[in-house]
Amino acid sequence: MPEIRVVNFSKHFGKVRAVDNVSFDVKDGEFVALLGPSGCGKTTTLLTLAGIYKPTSGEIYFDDQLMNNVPPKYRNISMVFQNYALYPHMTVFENIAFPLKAKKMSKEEIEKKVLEVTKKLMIDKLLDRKPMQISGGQQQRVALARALVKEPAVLLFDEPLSNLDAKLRMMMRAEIKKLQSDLGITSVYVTHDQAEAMTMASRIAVFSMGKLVQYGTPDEIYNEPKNMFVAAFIGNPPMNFMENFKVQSKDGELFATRGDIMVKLPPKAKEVKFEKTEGLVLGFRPEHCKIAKKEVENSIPANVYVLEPLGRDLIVNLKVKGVGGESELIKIFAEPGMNFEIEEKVYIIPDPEKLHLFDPETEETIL
Amino acid sequence: MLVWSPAGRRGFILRGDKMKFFSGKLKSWLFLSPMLILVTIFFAIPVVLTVILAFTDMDYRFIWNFVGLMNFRDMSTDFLIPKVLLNTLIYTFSTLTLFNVGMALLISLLTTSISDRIGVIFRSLWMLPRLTPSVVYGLLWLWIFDPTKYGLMNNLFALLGLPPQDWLHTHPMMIIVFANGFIGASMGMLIFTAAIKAIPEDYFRAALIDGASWFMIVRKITLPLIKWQILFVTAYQTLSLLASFEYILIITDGGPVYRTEVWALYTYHTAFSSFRFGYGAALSTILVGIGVLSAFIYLKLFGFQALVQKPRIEVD
Repeated sequence: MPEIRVVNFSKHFGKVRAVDNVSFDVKDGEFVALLGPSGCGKTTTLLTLAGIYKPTSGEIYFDDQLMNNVPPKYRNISMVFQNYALYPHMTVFENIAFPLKAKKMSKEEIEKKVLEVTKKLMIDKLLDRKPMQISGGQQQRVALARALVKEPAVLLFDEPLSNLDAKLRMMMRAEIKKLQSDLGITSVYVTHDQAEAMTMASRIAVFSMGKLVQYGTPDEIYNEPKNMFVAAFIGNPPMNFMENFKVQSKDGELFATRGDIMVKLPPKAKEVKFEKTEGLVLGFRPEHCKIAKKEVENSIPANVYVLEPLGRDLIVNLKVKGVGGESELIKIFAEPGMNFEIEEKVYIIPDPEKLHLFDPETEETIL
Repeated sequence: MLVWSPAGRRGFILRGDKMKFFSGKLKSWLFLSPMLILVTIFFAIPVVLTVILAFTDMDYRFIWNFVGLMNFRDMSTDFLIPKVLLNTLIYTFSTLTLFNVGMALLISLLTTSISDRIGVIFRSLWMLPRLTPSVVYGLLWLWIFDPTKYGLMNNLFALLGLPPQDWLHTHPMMIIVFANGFIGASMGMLIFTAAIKAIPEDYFRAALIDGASWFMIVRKITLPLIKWQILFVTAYQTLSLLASFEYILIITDGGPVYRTEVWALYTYHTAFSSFRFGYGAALSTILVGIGVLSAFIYLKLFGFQALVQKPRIEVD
């Protein structure tokens, strides 16, 4: 299985810079997710890896071989498409056999391989059906079988689960992950669903407006987001942001303050060189807070706005009085068993170790 | 009582059985009427008249004299009929396969495989004959195959040091097939190109990634997915080739010595040169019959049944 290296890759369509100077690498057998909102360049990058597009500039390597001008046929890759791209006029068998026929394999060998892969994916009873005659979940499996049957060195996925219902998606998520780790095929997986990227990939490349914003393990992306975009894109509900904070030191400790709000910053904040100390954005995740009913030190006063019970969890929506009278909406996961009244006054206690500070102009992470 | 129906299909309707009839059936006939009137005047009545005329021996005196099946009996002894039938078959089959479907498919497949801009230029060039008046287009072909040394082909031959040829006498059928084909291919080209462009890009991408060659993609994906358009163009062009004769009239007028006299032209000559309207109408009637028959054969050939298969989806 090859290692993939993308070096300073750009792809322009006319004046549109779909992908702009992106570099990353995928290790042998690794599962990497390209994550981002629609139009961020992740699918363009995937199609370039597939050889459908040629880079405007930069290089794509499989191991040490430059792939820029190698046609898809000679890349030993497979791809699963968002809409599956199953040929509507062919049966399930013919669809799965197509890549083997293109290789001019013998009839017996094709039959053997198709049966093998369809048994593994539990679709061996559908071989004589047309794609229109099977369900969406089954179509997904057929598409997967067609990708796996030729035993590719690289597997590419283009949002393969987005057309499935929520339950089936969770199931296929685990199944694809298991298959990939069993087979050890180097895989690149495009998705806009952060949960898919977090659960399946060993590393995530977060794209925004044609640029690679951050590349790292799910842990790094979650705990040390490079900027506000990544912080807001990862996590459900996303990170809470509060504007206009000042950094002040008191008794040798650093605090973020706004009016009468004062939160303690972690000790590592002392190592940060602050270029600005005013007008900063404070960020904390809904799951990294506690709610107190009585006032405590280093807390943020707020009023209960709406409750969103999820069975196991309870999301409490709170309004915090912002600067200039407007209030900010904050979402917090409450501890199980807590009861709240609407408009009740409570106090948010963020975990100081998990606090972030951002520069609102560059949106870069300061802390 | 006036009631507004939210579906908006019937607009204001009056409750009660009588008014429902007016708003439902009558209204649909009302909306269909302009088209129905046009079809009746310009299609149904002429067809009926032609069929009735086929049972008369009407000539330049315009007398409705019914003679039963005489015209059809005459056809069986008409020594020109086998020749005309063979000409029609050769003309229709070659124009259809070589140009109206064959060349049209080839142009569509090739121009959709190259860059879009160049493809559009090529396809626009092929549309030019459509913009040319029939007579000018016909005269153009006469000039190309002019027997003197001034014709285009003979000019080219002169460059190769060959003597001028009398093309219209040596290859009249080839010339009328070319003339009709070059103009006829553009319609199929338009329809096939639109059909190919309507195929989701992902099918082609999937096939490329799966290692298929251009020929395999054309054979296994493009052609099966535009099957219905091919059926339509084949059927439509068969009918229009069977009925068309204007370029043949201009270029060869059926000659030399009936070598390019096709059924439609023979009908025209019979009715409007020999003024045998009754016999001409009988010939037309047969032509319509051949057209309808061939349309049914095409439907069978392309497996209409297989395309309307019922889904077998089950929830798992």
